[in-house]
Amino acid sequence: MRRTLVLILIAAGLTLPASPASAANVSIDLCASAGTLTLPGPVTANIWGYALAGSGGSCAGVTPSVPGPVLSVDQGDAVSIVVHNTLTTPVSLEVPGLALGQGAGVSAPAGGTATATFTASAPGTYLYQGTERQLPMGLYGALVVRPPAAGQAYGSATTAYDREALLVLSAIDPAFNAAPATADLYHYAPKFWLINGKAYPDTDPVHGVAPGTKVLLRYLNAGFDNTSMRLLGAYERVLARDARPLANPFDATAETIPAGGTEDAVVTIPASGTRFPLYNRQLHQTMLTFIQVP
Amino acid sequence: MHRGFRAFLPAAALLVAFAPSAQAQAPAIPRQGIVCTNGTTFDLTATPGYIETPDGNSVLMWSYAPTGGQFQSPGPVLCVNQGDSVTVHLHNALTEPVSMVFPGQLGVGGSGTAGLLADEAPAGGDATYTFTASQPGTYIYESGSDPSKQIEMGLYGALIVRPAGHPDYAYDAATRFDPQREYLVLLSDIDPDLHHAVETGGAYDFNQLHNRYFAINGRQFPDTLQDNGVSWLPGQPYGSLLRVKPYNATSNPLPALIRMANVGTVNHPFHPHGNHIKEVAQDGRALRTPGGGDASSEHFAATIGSGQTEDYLFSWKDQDSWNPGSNPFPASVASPDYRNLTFKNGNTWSSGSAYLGSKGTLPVGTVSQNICGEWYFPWHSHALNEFTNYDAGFGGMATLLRVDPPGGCMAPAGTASILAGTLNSGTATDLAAADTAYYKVNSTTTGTRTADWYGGFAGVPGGSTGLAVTYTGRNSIAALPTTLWMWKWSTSTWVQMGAATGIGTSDVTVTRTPPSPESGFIGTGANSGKVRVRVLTTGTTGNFVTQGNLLKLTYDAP
Ligand SMILES: [Cu+2]
Ligand SMILES: [Cu+2]
Repeated sequence: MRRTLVLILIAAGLTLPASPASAANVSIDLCASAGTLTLPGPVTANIWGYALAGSGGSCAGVTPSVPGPVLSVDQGDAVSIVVHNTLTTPVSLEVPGLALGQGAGVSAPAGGTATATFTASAPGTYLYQGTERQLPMGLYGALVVRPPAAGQAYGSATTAYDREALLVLSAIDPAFNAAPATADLYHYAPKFWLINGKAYPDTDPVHGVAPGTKVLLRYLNAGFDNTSMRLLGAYERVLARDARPLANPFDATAETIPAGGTEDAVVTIPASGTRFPLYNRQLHQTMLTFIQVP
Repeated sequence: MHRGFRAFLPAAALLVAFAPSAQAQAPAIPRQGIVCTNGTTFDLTATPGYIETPDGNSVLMWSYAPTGGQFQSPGPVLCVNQGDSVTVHLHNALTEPVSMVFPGQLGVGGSGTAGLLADEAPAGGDATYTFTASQPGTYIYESGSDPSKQIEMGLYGALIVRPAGHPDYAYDAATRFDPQREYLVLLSDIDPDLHHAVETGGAYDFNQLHNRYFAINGRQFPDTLQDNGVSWLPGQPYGSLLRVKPYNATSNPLPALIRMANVGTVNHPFHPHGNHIKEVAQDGRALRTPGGGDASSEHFAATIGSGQTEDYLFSWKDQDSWNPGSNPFPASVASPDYRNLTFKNGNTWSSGSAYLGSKGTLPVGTVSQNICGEWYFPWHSHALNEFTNYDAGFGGMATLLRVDPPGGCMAPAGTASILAGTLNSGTATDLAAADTAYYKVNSTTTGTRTADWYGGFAGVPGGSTGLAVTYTGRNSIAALPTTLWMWKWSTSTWVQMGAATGIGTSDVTVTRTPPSPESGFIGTGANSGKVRVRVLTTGTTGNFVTQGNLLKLTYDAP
């Protein structure tokens, strides 16, 4: 196994572009495990999350996160993801937008494993996720497929960027998470609205930009509402939806990312202003972060 | 709701209650269309006030009102020109910190107390915002303080930036529009329980949000149809009835501009009936291809996201141009049967005719709001729970598109009366069309012979403008000077319209307009809606017969 997998810590929220390598075989071992998430209040919610497995695919001592680890592969890579399920219910894995060798998805039985294989055929921002009740529990994460050209989101030079930030949008209803098998979905009502698993004021600002910096925002909506995100003091140029480049990119200050969808947009930091709020315009106030100079 | 309704409306669009016509208004405010507050410096006060809903409720709102002026919801439409240095002073008459954000404006400066998203005005205090309106477009302004409470409570409004030197462009030459047909469609939604909680000091839990009222420009249907500034909606000055005339390459080539904005908390699926609308911009930026070409797109349903603006150009094309006289339905096309129409409480906007510009038969007892055969199309949220007032349909986020007849409203003379001379033959009916039927008047038979008569018109709404008379007729002998006159009710005198025309033995058509003000020529009180047009033909010492073929009045109804 050649290791071209680049792991990005969610807490960082921002990375320099990874330098792509030629197509390779990539193998990733994920654990699906139970854990907790501390939310403002503080409130502790039960979660199920993905985590990177330890050596030999061991899940001993791993801590699952919401969202799961960011998986980054290069276009053309032959990817295999092994899910080690430590939960007492089956766990699925699907990657909408990429064709798995196993069909729509794979399912690991309680205590068992399942392997999903695919070719990272097209660059872009993808969600990997469980299904049904596994989703509100926290089984989702970002998969980034990078094109050959370094510093570009897609094949076109018009998708070049200097920095990137992943924004996994989701929500948590602790009452549902307390009883995922039996909770009545009719009463599902999120109380916490999250970016990368955090509610403001715990969210991580995108730091380290300067006028002219092109910041690639990779939105992934893992929640259940079509979510409109407001940007103040700047425009974002929407480049792609669901990992497909748009023929006519457009500029926006309020852009709706459908539930289950992804979107890529570039913010060119304007000459004036040092703090650019980015927040849920449907007024779920804790889904808020900032792009900040410096 | 479905595209394709013409003169006949579904029950969805039939009205519940209809208020009387507008009171006198400040002349600067158009009855319909966008109402701009122009300037570069604006003074606004964040203040509480009440709106009225069509179901009889009143709801506490917070809004940005003109400082020292009347409370209004939404805040005033701020209109500036590209390149202007704009200053907005905000005074806070609420009891918690308030601010303003201007999405799409870059480098907003100013002063105030530092807040989460913007500088704030503390309770009783002030803040100032400054920016250069660098790019034309449709924008919103709204609160940047505790948004889940303050935006829900109503702290929002529209900001329009017009291209430098081109107030008739939305953005550029490709987005030129008819300045007489510029409309704002600002969508919002209200949970009255949350407003009640604020009013009574109760617990405000945004997670309990359940919207019950849905508004366009701060009003719910059918109040949306009322004129701008009607006296009975003092806190909701903006109507949203849209009016167009059919597209015509020479006489009506320019589209209407619809500036849509969603300041509500949810995305709204807006459904314009009649023709497609062409989206030309979003969030204040024209839609362009990478090469700078046109990337606009046509829609018959448009989802507008929370916080978004979208600009649309709209031309309505009368594809078939059916006309009861010159282009009637072919035998293969069934005329609409009014018995298949539905009417709510005996009220309708249907003209009873499928021909634009003509009225037909309606069921006995039906009260029609239709003025002269114009067509109405519903424009509404296609989320049917939003097409209600507190869950009762139909109401809420809906208005009407009104397509006026291309030449304006037309009325034929309904009566004919002789002032001098005698009836030869015919009736007023013969004046309805230029055909082979004539209304004939014998001249006087002594001295200088004259034939002097007038046609009477009824049902012309007060406030109509653009009054014009068309007369087609001839005489039994050559070249007799003929003048047209209109009765001025306010002075009880005939007023001559223009110079005499020589009319001989073949038909001549004369068009005349009365001098302004036109209001004096439309009867009021017992003579409400009546107009009289006099035809005076002066001969010499030989008897003659004046033969009237057509006498009609056209006007633009309010
Ligand atoms: Cu419909
Ligand atoms: Cu409809």
